Amino acid sequence: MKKMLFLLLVFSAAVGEAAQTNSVTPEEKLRALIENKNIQINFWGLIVDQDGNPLEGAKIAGDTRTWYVTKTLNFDANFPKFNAISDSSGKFEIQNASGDVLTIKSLEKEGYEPEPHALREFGYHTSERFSSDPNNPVVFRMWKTNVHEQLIIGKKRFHVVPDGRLYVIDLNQGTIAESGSGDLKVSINYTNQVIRGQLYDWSCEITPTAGGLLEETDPYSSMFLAPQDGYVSTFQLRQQIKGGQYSSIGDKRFYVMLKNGREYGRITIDLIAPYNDGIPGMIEIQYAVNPTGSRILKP
Amino acid sequence: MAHSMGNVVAGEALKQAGASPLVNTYVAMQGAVPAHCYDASATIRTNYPDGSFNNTLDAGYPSHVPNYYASYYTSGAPCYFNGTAGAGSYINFYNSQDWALSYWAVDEDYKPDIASGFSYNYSDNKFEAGGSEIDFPTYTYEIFAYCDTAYCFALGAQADVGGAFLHDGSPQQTDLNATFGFGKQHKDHSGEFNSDNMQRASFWSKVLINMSLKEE
Repeated sequence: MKKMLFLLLVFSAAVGEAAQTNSVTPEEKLRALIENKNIQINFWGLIVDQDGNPLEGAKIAGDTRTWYVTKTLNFDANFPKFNAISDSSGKFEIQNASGDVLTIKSLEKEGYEPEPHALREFGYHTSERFSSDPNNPVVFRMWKTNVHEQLIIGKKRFHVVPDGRLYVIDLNQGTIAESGSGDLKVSINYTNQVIRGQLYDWSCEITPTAGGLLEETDPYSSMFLAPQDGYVSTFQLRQQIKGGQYSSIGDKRFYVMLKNGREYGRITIDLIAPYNDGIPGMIEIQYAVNPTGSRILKP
Repeated sequence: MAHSMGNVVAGEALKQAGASPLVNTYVAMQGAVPAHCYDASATIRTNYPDGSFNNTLDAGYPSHVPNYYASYYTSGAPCYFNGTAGAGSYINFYNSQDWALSYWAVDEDYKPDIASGFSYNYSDNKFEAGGSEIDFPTYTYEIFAYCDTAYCFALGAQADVGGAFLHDGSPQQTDLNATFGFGKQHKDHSGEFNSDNMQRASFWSKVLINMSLKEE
């Protein structure tokens, strides 16, 4: 590594000198640009089980994307592999790899399986600007393979009238109604008379009838375990949009506590209005509810 | 919907539409257009391991070729696509690890394209083609294509791009890597076209819903 650094410094100095005299050759420039895309990659990870306990002996495999200049003075990438094993404290590290993206491709331990989103990529020299910290390792969760819950799972799209009226969604039945009992009360409020370009109020609300919501903002979370606390009673969004535009909340992900804590679940929900000329409003929802009262949401 | 360099064309068409939207929704997929065109505050790219932009490679860099994408085309002016309103809604489908957009960044560092006869005269801050001066706005397309380095990442590799992609303060975007598993390999740049329905049904479903085209 020291030798490589030395060569890099010498090369950089040489290129710098050449630039001042406008004598950087196209090949030198290409090599510098491509080689500079590869940086030293150090990565620290921590493997835990479903309860958050360190997991020793897990086998980690992955690769990095490493750029190089081809013989024809183009450039390409290869994907050198790495392997590691977690120690007694569940930790592992990858040192002195080179490239711009590191991928965790597999996590293996007898009797366990990784959460789906644990297998992911980390961009170091990309717009993601990932950096790894030995004092704050990336946590990967593995579950015992015999942990499976009978979840009520569904995916629905409901047409709604976005005039502020309340809709009640029953996640057990996968139905929506304007009255009666259910798990979530949802409303969208927007005008149906607009002049293009003028600003109008747009608002929405999601409220569990007897429980709470907790938004998950980590896109890589598999949401297999609902938190014990941190729930709020409602989600609201108030904004203004221009006439002629549509608006939505985007795909929001929430843990839901239902029936006063006797059920937990997760939802991905989008509220859209106006939807199109024929549909004034739309609710799109994916859900998984554990009716047993367990917070485990792993199917 | 536009993919990769198609976003150069689509973005320009939507800009030229003026205040009257041509389309309900514009989905920019893996857009090969500078993020600075839409948001002058988008992250500055680095091309050197210490995190700096290399001033020794004679690539376009801040002390030399001006960033006309972020400020078009006089000092202090807004970014190139500032105020674009050709679509009712703008949504950025991006992948930070995109292979081709990593290539795109290297291409940017090769501007001005001297081999094709383009150059930048540092003494009078003028672009030249074949020895003749070329100026904005007449030669905007030539200057952007061959001369002016983007110091940012491509739109399709950048999260949280503002400007037209902001809706009530929030960027309208989808992370293709986190949400749909688009990865770091060459095939992933066109993953939505190269894969099969089993792999990409959820992706296309989301696109159709974003475009208000899917009902049931």
